[in-house]
Amino acid sequence: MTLLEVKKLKTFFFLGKDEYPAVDDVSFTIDEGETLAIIGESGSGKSVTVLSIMGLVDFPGKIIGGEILYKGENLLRKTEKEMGRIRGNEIAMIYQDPMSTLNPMNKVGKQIAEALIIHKKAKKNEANKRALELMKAVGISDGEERFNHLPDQFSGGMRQRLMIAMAIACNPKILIADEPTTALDVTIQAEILDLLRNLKHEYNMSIILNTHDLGVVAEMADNVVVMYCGKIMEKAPNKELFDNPLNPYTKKLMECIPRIDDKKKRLDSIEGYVPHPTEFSKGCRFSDRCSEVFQKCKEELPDLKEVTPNHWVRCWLLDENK
Amino acid sequence: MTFQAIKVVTKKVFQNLLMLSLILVIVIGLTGIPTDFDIHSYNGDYKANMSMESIMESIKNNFKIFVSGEAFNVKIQGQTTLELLTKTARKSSAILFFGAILAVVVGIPKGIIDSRKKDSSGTIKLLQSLIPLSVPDILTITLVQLLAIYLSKNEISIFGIGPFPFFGDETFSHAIYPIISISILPAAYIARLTANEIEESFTKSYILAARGKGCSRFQIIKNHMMKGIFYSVLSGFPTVIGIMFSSLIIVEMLFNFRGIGFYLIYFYTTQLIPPYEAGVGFSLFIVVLALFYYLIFMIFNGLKEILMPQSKSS
Repeated sequence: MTLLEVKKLKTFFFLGKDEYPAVDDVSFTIDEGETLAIIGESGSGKSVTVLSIMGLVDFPGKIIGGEILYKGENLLRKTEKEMGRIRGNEIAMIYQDPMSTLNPMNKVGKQIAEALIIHKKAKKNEANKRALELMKAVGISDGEERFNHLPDQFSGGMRQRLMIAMAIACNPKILIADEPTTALDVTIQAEILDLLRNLKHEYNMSIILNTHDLGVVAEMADNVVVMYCGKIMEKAPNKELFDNPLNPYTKKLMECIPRIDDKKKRLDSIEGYVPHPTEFSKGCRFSDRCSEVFQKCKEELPDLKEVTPNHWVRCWLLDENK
Repeated sequence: MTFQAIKVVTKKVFQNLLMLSLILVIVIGLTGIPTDFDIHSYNGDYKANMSMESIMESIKNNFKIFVSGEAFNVKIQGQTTLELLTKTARKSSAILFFGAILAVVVGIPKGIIDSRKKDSSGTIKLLQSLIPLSVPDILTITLVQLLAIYLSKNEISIFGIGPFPFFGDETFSHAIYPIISISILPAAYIARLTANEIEESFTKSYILAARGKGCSRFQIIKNHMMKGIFYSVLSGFPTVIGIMFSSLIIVEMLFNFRGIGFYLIYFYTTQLIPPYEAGVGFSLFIVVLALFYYLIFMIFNGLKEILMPQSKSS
């Protein structure tokens, strides 16, 4: 059953007279218990997409079009107060940098208990008790002792565990993880991903996972959305995307995954840079970096088309009238 | 560890005592200059009305008066300087204390209201706290007095309270307008501190995370910003005290509220008290004011040191 449906979402940033399309015409759905990965380079619009879902896009950013349907209700029509009841309760989020997303002046236990007090109207004692259980659930065994500690007494990995405990406090239906392992030590990354996977089953949550780590995607995701410069380039079920990537950008991303049997001296990378929003091509946004580019790519933006069931691609190469 | 702590505390105490002694020497020295000292211009030439020797003699005597304790026993208008000091200090302390409380009680909510307003009313609200800080304090205090006179003359009460007397110091109700007057500038200053702290905090990632948890603006300010606001106000309090002390003299003079500030000017300008007694009174009052200011300053600095280590580490 579809839990969340994002339809033609447009989130632009307005600076002076210029407008920057951070998220442009993005559509996807997520079912109950599904893990959806959104992948792409920095600046592709992954974070703005999930912040739009949470209703946390601030000035100068603005959602200018589309719909975000959660259980059939458009979140964009909800008031700030109504959104406050959904955030942290129905849809929760963990962030990229656990070092700065915990309040350095508040005790960690209190920060975990806060969502329970707000949404579940729990009494302080009950909320604290539940916060302790959550600390244990995310692998902080000496919770009683560390409940009153400040965030700077925890390592990066531990802080991310605390952030996860905070996010799952109210048993949300959807957990948004915005690059949850990017700021962490490689040795900790696997632990955090394992934790997310276990919690997903335990709490029966859907997960939207923002990442640029394709290894993580391969392991965790059911479906994958590939974004570039605010546009969806390709979306498909996980296996299908890895077995049969069709968009040149997806292919390039796949080529960048280092392989143990690879004898290459240098790791692959995609040539060039993600263009500044003012320099987007009027055609395909990847055309400046694409090795298979031809004239039409530079002139006209291709539509996102379903080439095989559930496999959508935005590329002129797959168009019969190219 | 304990030895280290004792060493640090001893060093701090020694430094502060040294600073205090220096301030006392400067204040007693300066106030030792006779109050009738003047420089006249005559045919383009400037001449002092007393010699350097007599000024130095007067300063020396001033030190002697303080060291011997005579400064506390000089009779002024039938009472000793110590009695007068006790009486006036109580009055000044009352308006400083209640003024500071009023400034905090008004300033913090005003700062919260002023912050993060994107509509046109935001500018008006911002101006409400910037204007009192920009105009001379005497103008602000005079405007309060004019309003007080208007309300009193027309017997207008606000919410059934008042009108309050606008002149004198006989009862506590006489202190209402001086308290309001002395708290306006500090309240505006605290409002700015609070608004700035909130503005800055809203850019922090942990506030975004708090919003993601479902916290309302009120809950964010209460649960995630109040400590920061408290530390910010605490850090700014020495400045607030400075503003209040500088306004004290004007407030007490305009409202004829006979506290330390009132008597400082009175000693300097009156012909009703002999110059020697007036000089001693002036010196004593200004020394006590300096001590009082330094003491409050130290208390707030100490509080900051004790209460702020958590925020420093982060």
